[in-house]
Amino acid sequence: MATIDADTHFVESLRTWEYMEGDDKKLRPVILDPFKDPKKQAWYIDGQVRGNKVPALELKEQQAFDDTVDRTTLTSEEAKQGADLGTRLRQMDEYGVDFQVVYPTIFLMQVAERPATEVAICWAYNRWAADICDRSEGRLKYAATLSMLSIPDALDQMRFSKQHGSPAIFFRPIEVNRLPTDPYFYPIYEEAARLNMSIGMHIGNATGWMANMLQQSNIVRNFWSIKACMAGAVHALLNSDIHERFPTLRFGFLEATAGWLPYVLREWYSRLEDEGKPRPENPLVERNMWVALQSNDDMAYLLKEVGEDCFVMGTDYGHNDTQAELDAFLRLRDGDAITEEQYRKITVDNPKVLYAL
Amino acid sequence: MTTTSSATLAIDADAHLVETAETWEHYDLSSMRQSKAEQALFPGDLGGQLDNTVIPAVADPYGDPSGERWFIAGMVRGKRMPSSLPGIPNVNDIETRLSWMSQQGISVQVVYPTIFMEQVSNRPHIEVPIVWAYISWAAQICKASEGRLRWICPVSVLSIPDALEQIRFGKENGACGVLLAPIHGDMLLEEAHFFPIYEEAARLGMPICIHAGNANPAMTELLGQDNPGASFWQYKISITAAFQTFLTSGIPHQFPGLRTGFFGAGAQGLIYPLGEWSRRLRADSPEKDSNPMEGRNLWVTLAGHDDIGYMVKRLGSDHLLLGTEFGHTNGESALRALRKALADGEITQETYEKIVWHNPRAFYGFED
Repeated sequence: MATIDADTHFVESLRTWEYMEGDDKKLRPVILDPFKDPKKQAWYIDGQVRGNKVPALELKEQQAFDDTVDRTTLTSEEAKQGADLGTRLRQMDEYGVDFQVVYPTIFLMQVAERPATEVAICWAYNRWAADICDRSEGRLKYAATLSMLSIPDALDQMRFSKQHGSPAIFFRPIEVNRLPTDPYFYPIYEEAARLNMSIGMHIGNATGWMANMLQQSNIVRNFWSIKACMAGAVHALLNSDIHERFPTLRFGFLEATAGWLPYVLREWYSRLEDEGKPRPENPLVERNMWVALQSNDDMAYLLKEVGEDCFVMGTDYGHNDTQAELDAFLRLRDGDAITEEQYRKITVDNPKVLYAL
Repeated sequence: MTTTSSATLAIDADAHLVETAETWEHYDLSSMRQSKAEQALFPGDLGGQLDNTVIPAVADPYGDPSGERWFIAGMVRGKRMPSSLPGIPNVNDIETRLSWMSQQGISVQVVYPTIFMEQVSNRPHIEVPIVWAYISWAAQICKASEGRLRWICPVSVLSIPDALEQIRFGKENGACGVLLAPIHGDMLLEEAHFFPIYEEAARLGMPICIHAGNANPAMTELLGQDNPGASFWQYKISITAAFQTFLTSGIPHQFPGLRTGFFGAGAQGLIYPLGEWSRRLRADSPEKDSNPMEGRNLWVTLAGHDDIGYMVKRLGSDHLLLGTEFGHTNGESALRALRKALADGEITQETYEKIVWHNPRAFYGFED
């Protein structure tokens, strides 16, 4: 029984951009450090602060955070960055995880407005991530990161990543000024279906003006800008005909927890009723959709409302934030929220189908 | 065996007036030139720059009432909805409305505007007189209802001095709350810009009523593209986010007498930010076991699609309200769902009575 952690992260470092080639090197992200404080750094790209830079915490700071929130997020910067694979694999063993599907960090936000810059950064990331995963004894699988501003390049990046074992494509609920239902993305969906790769929709927002506006004064800066968008994106997809156009395409919705799911489904059902349309019996399964749970979700309610075939679990390994919980699988297994059979589905069977592993 | 009854008179905490050309007959160009926004922009002889293109007019590009839009100062703005529904020729007609309310067992209905679900202008001197015109129209309708219709006062958020005057006028003329959208232009509700509104509302005992909507045109446009069910992401997710703002910001503590309600999106959307909030708390935080709705004076309306029994379990029964959305819909869904929850034993008679009567009285400050 091989468990699959459906949502973990690599944290990019300057080493990542050493994978840029030729003239692309001129476009590499650099670190802006105005306060001489690793917790307040930002990525500087094309003359702007861009992308997502997570604070680098010292181990004692991470430990203090863990003690405060009663969760485990502790790992080294080297393990987060994929430089210390030994530690990462050992921690997977320790926390009951056999495989990790790994998502990027910088791309949670828009990295560039110019296609040339985005293309270069995405290629560097994919080469870097592929290099790490190729050395992981098959236990790390990275989600391909695509330059959405240039679809032909994006398709090339998908094919490259597929050759390196990538099971999914990293996608944000809002790409640059486009929703996931936009026909602009149909070539990507078509190619993903052809290559048997899933769409890994992860919290994020690649529409810079919108994300900045929603983060400007909000005390919990990212709820509206990158998290609540997930509920909107899933609602939009449910309302769309994407599942009819691409019937084998699979979607995973990651790091947004699942508390919003009954809201989205019930609101959508009410629309169907108003339109005189039948209510699907199991809409997520019928549409090849899976949602990542978090340990504080009301699992009994979610399983009753939505069923047990559409949930996966992610630990958010690599980040130190609200979602991160390295021992989530152990807590789920050893707790009394779900049955042994449900645990198996959530951690083994469902993610295996989602990622075609 | 416990007997239950849904015959209790109800207060409908969220229904709508739907603006028509008649609304703008209350638009008074000459008096509006006295607005503080206008005075600041066009002092002395330069005053009176307004002309009738700033009065909302119906744009009907397709010759189809369902595709009508408001056209204001050269822009398509505001939320335009039909003022008729199947079987209801004019939702603003008082006799029709009161008759419908009586049939449903509703004694009092609180009415919200429609046009202000979206931004009507990004210029204060245009926004101010539109708000005044609506206020004058709504106050007149409600005054003729012999107390059965109460109205929520929109404010011109782009000119705070005018907004404060509108709140005071509203208080004196039967308004029972102050309307805000979840976002205004590029301003979120936790910004200090809105604090004078919160302060005045608290002083006058009027709640802040945040209705599903989105007064950021760029965001509304983006979220409406290739999205057949766009209003969910445009308007309702915005309510989820605005609730998160009041849950996590210091506003409820900074204005301790302030009551804040979330309308038009149902209650189920609150579960997500509540889970996030709980996750962020220290493991030993005393807030872990508290009801944040109570501690922060936050209230929410139930929708027909909510799992009502579960909402009562998660949010408690003291801060839930009934909102029919009459005017935008035929108003029956939420009431039917609530009565079914009572009949099915999902909620008790006591909880039912709280939701339809005691809670809205407390929220809106109804004393009689």
